[in-house]
Amino acid sequence: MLLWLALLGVLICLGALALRNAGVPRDRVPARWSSRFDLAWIGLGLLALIFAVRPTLPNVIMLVPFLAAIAAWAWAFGLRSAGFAWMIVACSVAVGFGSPEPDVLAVLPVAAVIASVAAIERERWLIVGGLLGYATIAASWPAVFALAWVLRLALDRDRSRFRAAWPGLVSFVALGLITALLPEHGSSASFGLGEPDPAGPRAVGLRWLFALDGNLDMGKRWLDYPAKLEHLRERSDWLWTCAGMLMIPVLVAIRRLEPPRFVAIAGCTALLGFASVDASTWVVACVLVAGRATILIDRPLTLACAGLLAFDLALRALAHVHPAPFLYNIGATSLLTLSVIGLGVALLIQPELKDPVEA
Amino acid sequence: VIDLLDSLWQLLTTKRETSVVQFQFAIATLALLFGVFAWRSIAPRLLDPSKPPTWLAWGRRALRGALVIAALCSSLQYFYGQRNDGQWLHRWDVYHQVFGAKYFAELGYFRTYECTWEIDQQSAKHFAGVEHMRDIATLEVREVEEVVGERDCEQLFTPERREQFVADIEAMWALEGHGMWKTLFGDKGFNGTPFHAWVLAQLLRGSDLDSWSLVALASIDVLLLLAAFVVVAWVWDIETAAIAALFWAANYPNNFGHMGGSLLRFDYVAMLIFALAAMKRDRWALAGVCVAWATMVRAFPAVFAIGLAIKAGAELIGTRQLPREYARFFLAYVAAILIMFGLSLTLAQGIDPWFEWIANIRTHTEHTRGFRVGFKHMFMLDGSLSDDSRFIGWAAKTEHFRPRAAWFWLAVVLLLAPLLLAVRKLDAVTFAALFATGGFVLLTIATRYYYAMMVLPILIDRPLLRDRKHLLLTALLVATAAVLHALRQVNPHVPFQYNTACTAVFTAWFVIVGAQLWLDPELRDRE
Repeated sequence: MLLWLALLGVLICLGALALRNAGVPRDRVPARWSSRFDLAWIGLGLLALIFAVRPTLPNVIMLVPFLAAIAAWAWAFGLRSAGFAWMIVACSVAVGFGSPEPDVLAVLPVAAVIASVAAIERERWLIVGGLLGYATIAASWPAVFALAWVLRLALDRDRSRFRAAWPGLVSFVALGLITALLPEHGSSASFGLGEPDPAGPRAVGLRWLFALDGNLDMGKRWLDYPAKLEHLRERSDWLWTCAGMLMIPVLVAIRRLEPPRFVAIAGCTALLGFASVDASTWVVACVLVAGRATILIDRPLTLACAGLLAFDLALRALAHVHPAPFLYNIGATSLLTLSVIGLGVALLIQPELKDPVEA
Repeated sequence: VIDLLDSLWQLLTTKRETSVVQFQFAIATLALLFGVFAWRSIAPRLLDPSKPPTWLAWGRRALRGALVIAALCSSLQYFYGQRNDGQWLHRWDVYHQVFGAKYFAELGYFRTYECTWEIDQQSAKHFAGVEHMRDIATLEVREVEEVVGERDCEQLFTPERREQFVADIEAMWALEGHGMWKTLFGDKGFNGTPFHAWVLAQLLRGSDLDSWSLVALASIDVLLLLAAFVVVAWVWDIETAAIAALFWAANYPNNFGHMGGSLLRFDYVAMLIFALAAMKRDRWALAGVCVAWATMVRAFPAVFAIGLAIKAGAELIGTRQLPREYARFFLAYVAAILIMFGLSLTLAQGIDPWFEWIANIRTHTEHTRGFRVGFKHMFMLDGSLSDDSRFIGWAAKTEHFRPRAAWFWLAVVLLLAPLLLAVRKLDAVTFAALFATGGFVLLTIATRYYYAMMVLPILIDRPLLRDRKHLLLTALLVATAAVLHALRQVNPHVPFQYNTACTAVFTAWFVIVGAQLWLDPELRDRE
């Protein structure tokens, strides 16, 4: 069912793009249609909720942080954007709402990062800093989002924004310190090539496309992960060069992208390029639809929605044919790399990532 | 200097260095394209366009010179360094082309192996040691005696033709490479269209099958391709031709060793390049003839004409009149097809060879094979992809694909949608080049060497070094070559390289083109 919902989402986004390209101006769409559409989309989101979640207490508890993050998203970007973000989360294969043994605490850093991007849009710096400080210490990988946020603030032409964000940096440090006292939770990332974890069937990261030696689906010539890491170390120059190249379009656009969009894009690109994380972490990719209720009107944003839902759809289809490790090490990584390259091409051509005709 | 040139010569002409050298060419081309992209992005802020400095003109000349030298070096590596089995002549394929075409009237598509073996048994017995042979009609490999069955080949020939056949077997044997004959009859026969066979038969008429005559005939392909790139330099510009040539040589599935050194294996793609050039120069009838040739020799280039038909149809619906250029193209296309079809009928007196060819191709394409590339493979990912141990087999892959066919077609429609919706906003050359490539990748499962077609998107109607979108899309195309050459060093499993990796990277490239078209259907740099 989630596969069909993802397909429906893709078709709606592509239909909207087709209408825009056919020259249907936005003022031809009556406002009441727009609000009815948003309501219908919320209905679809609820349907996705029902089908995504196994009705057990841990699964329902695990849902709470996500629902809070999506509510924050609705507060910052509007109902439609929240609806799409939720669909992307619900349709994800890796998120684990349907898992018999869900890791409830592991989802907290993911939800915190999603909510922090919403808070950036609203310029609630204390909340942003707190959420990112907590998430960074709890799971390590949100450090790339925190770094992107600090970088964007530091290079912002509007210096008053940087001055206003100081309390956020303080709350980042404070919440980080408090979190360090808590028991370890969240799924950490591997940034270097020396650490063995997470190097497993559920790991996703650009590096796994540089370890295509031997058999890829645990057949006779399967190389275990220590051997793969050894190969990765031999090819580390190429790996870091490619990861660096993925970052160039994002860094070129640093001052032209709005802060939440920059943090979302830079965070996701760096996460893919420089880290290896558990597949469930990649639910965070829904932050790429950060945009104020302009989905189905703004072409880049609509295309991002279509792309992320198509990613969910493709992974769901691939899961029927190839389980982990191929599904995540190769399938998810390839599809995410394709998305990031596509995003990079769009950014190089149009660093503001605005609708090209209207820009 | 002599030592340096000697090292360069060794590097460019050693077959085993192919992947390394072409990978380096691809990386250098990528660096250049990104460099030009960066320059194009920042130059408007640095320079006054009304007063370009002198050094810029010199820089452009230096770039052009460097590109031409690089393209010549990479072409040398392609046309000579990638030669087959240490010999330039591709004897394996030459046998198929020569015997399949020259004796087409007697043997048709299905009896080439059987009659070569049988008639040789009655004379020199060169192939006495061959144990297995493929029955081309069913594609089963069985004992030779079983496939040959009743020895009736002699009845198919007149005495003179039989004598010629025996002489030709001797000539092929004299080309050496005797080891190949042990497995050659396990291949899948001659599969060219009857028109392709007719053209080859005309070329081979009166030609001795000695090494030099065959090399001269095999050089036609090289000359056609060189002419194609010269035409690109003339119609587009020298830089575009050089970059297209660099990609051509680096394009992983298009290795010259696969089919180069044989007879008329690249004419179709040269014709498609000529067609794009002719369209760009408003020679639409000439373009129609070129595409007709490509269609009649390889069939799948019809996708080029289909693309143009969609474009013409959209213009007809949009403006209520068919622009004259499309009318000229299709009149010439249909007329040329009819003439070529008529000529092909003279080969074996009748239309039957065409029906035989259709039956042959249907059997051939029923299941995929390890050397093939195409989007359908993304719906056949079952079993082990990179190991023989849990490989499910080609027939099982076809079986797995059938229930997924609806999903495949949906994916094809969604991937082609941005291009089709942009049909009226793109010019004819750009639309035809992109549709031919996209349609080919998405709709067919073709043997690796036909992916020479991937050069066409470089020849869209945009100034390559000035349009930043075209620069980026070309850079990504070159990146596919670099990725595939690197992958070869890492995982040499052939079906993984072609079925999975080539298909995935070419599809990915087309997805990014589609994304660009969704964002801006005119596909133009708006800076």
